[in-house]
Amino acid sequence: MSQQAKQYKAIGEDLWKNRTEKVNAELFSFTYGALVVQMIKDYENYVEVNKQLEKMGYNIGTRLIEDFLARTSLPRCVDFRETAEVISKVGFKTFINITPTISFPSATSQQQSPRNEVAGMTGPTEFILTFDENPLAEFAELPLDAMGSKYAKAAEEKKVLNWDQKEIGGQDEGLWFSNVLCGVIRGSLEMLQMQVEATFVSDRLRGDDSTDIHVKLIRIMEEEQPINDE
Amino acid sequence: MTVYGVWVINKAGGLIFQRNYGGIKPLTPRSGLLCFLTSVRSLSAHCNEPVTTISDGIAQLSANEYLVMAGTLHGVHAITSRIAPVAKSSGVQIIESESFKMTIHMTLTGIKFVLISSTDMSNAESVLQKVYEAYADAVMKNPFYTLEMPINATGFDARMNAIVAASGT
Amino acid sequence: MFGGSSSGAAGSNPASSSSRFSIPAITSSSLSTGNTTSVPSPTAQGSKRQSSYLSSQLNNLALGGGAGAAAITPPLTSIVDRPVNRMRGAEVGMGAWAFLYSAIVAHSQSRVESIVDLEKRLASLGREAGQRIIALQLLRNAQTANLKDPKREHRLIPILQYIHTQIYRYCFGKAADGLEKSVDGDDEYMLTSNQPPLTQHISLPRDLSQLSCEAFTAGLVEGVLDGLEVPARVTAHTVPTDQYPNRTVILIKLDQVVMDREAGLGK
Repeated sequence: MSQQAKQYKAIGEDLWKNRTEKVNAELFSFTYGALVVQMIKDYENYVEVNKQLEKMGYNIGTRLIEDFLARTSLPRCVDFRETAEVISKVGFKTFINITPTISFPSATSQQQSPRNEVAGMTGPTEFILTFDENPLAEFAELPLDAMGSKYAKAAEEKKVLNWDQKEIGGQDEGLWFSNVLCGVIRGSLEMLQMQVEATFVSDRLRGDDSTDIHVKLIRIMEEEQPINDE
Repeated sequence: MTVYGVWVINKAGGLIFQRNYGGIKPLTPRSGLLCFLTSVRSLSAHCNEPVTTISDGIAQLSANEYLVMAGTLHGVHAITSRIAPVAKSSGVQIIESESFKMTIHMTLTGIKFVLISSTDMSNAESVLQKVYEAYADAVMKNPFYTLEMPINATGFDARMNAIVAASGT
Repeated sequence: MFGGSSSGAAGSNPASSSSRFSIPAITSSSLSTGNTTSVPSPTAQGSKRQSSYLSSQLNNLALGGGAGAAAITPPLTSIVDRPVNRMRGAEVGMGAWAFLYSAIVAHSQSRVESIVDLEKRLASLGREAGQRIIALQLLRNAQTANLKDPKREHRLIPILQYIHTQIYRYCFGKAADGLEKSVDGDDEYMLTSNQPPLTQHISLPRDLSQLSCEAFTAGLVEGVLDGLEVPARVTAHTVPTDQYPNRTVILIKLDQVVMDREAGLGK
């Protein structure tokens, strides 16, 4: 672990231990699960639910960032690598008491995909957060028809429709149960003038080997805001 | 150590919160910076409105005057960060006159918290920090608040009153 | 991953023939449960977990044999393989809750026409949470008693006291500030919180002054009561005092069935 990573780990742990009001994680988990179920009943389409969860997360992120800054008083990060460290070790730590592992794909997969160039940025411009634990999904299990294209066909054949026997749309994409997290990342970074794409690339709930969110910097937004007209 | 007032200015320079708190020192009318800022009023139609003073504190101006001043302060802040000799300057942080000072804290997200206080307010920065925390709680965690809009939450006013009451001791 | 199952319910239930596909439908806390959740008895839930642990091993063996069923093999990280007590005592930041709930209120508001409907939506989420919380608590009580003679309240007053103290402490970090019988009727009880933590940062706009965002808590209490077979209608009401502007009364109106049963059980 780099010196920087160690430093943020210590900051995050101290904040969590000494400066964070806490609430039962199971209540949090059950409530989120109930929300997702309610949304599936409302929209009857996994793609739409993914979208709504992301949007809800975005709205949370644009507000949560102020709480984060007010409580941490951290200065602006110098590069995206530092941003990744802060998100994992201070952000996720102080809000939901987990520290997802960070990896930087561009360093290894440079040949396969063109490097993500962002004007004015040095160092990595994308990273992957890998979740060993996820309090949102602790009590969740997806029905087959929500697991994406891998299982959609099997679900169809087997008639695994355990949702009041109602057909739910968007089975090819399936449900990204914790998609709210992507929105939170996108919303909070946007408030810091970083436009990013944050997407789930895998989820253990869907039978994948790991749970990963890919965060990619698109551009740094103009800092100067126009002066308000009267 | 007296807090006269608190402003919150959104990213675009709009005043979204403004309260005067009863002070103990009568304000010299049109002194120092306030004079500079209010001079902008001469451009508006409100220049002949009388300046009233609440019993023992800061001048009570019209809502429109406060909006104009907040916009001006926003512009001044932008200028100071542009003319700074280093890149990405924080911009102006303290403006001081004989009778009062303004302490400005801009967050990384571009919101400005402004504390108007007596000149001997040595803990202005920490008071503004508490104001920011109250904003994060009582405004950001309130589902009925729309971002960038004026703040009208009883919970925030209650927190502000408590912060101001505790700030002078 | 199977090692984690060791913290499961103690006991010696033989493996049943239940297939893993059927498990989502009966696990009270699983996503795939429909809207009319029947809360399984703690013992049943415990044994399901055990049997699935064994059956999942069988499944793995079958997979190793290269059966053509690979395409429909469900994920190996099935919920029933996870230790149910891993999260016991775990906490998240109150900020995370506050932002999630705030977003839920805002989202719900966009989908309803009236304050009554908004409260209904919030209450229905609380109800879902409450049903799962009581199922988990009953399971843990049974585990603590080593599956022998698990204690479970059946009389009304002890049940209400259990909610006032244990359930409130579990959900909100401390017991409710009061439990009283209503003067309006024998079938009405009130749980009072001076400073409800879940909604502490919410200020109502004037046009919504009749709303109580604690409707979630009301739904939660209703779900818990439901899990204890005490049907009731539960509502939340803000009853401020000068000292406690957010003081909230959770009003429990018991179903006649409960009153009749209590009368039948006698003093």
